[in-house]
Amino acid sequence: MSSALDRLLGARVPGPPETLRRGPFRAGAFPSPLHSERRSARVGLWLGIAFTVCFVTGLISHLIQNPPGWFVWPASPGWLYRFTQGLHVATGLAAIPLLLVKLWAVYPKLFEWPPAGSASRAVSRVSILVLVGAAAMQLVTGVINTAQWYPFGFFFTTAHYWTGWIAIGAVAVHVGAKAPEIRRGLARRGTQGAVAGLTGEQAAERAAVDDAAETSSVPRRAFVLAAGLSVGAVTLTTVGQSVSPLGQVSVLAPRQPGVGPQALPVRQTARAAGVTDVGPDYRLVIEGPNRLELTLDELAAFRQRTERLPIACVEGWSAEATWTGVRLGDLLAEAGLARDTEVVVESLQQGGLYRRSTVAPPHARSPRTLLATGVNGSPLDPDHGYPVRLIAPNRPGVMQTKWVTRVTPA
Amino acid sequence: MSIADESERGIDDRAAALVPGDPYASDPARPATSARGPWWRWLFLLPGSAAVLYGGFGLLTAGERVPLPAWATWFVGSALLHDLVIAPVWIALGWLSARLLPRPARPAAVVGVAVAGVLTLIALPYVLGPGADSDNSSFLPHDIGRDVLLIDLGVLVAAAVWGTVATLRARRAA
Repeated sequence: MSSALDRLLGARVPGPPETLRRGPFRAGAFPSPLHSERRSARVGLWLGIAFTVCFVTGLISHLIQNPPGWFVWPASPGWLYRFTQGLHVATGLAAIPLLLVKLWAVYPKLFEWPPAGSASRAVSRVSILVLVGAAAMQLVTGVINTAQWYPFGFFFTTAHYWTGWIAIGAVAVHVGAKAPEIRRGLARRGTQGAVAGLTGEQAAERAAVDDAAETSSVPRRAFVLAAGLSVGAVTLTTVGQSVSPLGQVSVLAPRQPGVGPQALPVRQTARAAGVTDVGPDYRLVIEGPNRLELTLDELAAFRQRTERLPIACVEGWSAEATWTGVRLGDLLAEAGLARDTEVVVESLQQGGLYRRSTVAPPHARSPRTLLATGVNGSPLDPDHGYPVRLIAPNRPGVMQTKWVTRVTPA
Repeated sequence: MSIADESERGIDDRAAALVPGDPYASDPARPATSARGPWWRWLFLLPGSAAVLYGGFGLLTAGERVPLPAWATWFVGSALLHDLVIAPVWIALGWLSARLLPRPARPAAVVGVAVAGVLTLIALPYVLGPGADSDNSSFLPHDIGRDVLLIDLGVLVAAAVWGTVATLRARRAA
């Protein structure tokens, strides 16, 4: 079996004529000793960690928004989603310099000669296209999405989700495929692991490259410093969108906590949602055995609560605010429903994918879940969802429905 | 042997005699036999392949939400953005610096241009895209185009100072 596969995959594929071997294909085109197995494996480790963090946090966000039957997301701690999604975006941004450094290290491979010397090399190169395509696409479209720019021709979240599976899978396949290179590249120099699978001659060649990297005109230290400072600079200039104390420092972030109507950032404005004419005929309807149809004055007669809760946008920014309103559970009880009834909250907004959201039992029964009418000491600004919005702990911003008009058991 | 040397050499079969005894050795003429070990590679290869297939299946069945030509354009285009634009620009800058800068100044140039370049790349979508929304004062509260230019300037000045000091020190030591 494996000998037949060996014959098939190991068959030499004739290459193009030598006269075509020009430019980056020619011998000696990439003289830097930093294009090494060791540097590639080490930056690859960081990049692999970054992609794993992005995948896990992205999967969490996806499951919260599209929960399968087995998935339960708790209402406590209230900051958890703020943390996971802030981490998702910050790690994705930090992965941009890491990916660039990694691709630079292995760039000579793109100009391998012959381009595919055997069937197995051809398979390997196609798998690398899948890896690089998926990884680069996730980062490029991810950043563009946070700029609220949608030139894609596809629905971002669906493509980002499925391509995320391809990206993490391709990373894992790459780790498996490059197992010997990774084993050697991550092992301490001079140990047995650093020469695993090599003849003495090959081991000496690699050691010579790593020696040369210490003293080349751009040495290893400058390479590591460039990668580290790039990651640090990207993080420092953007992470303040989710780590509020750094808000003023992060001048390249698209949002700053504390900046916006009522000192709170906004994702979708009332005008963009088409909800600009809320008049005295507004009613909040709670469907149930004892159906409620409340005016704002009647809603104000319920016991008012105040909660300090974050808005955490899927785009990564987040900010805390002090919300005032009525507990969702109190209204459900008044309508004759159990406090942990799963409900659908609907907006006055007519269109859009996020005009309604489901409140699962952990959030419905949480005493911190409010139908808020005020924020930071004054009635809600239209952009924050006047007259009534949902605010619950540990939930993505797109599910904190604004301009709420109806609550229905799911 | 650097990665560049490996790519130039094409097929390197010097470790062929070590296969299959050494799980990390490989023989280009026997790729399937070489791929058997080390055992732990299968912990990555099998679930990884399954994840790629699952993602591909998801895209194929996503319907009108993800038209495949648009997806493929961004998939291949993002890779080409690196291979045909970013990497050649970086290599051209390296070529220039090797000719214009004294050797002790080159590490500073690499670090400075890398940091400034990455910050510029990240700021680009905010500058090239639709940009600030007059309805929404909280979106893009800073003038990112101006900010990134100022930061880049600061980074490049710092790199220039570092490069100059390094060059002067090297001359004094020589």
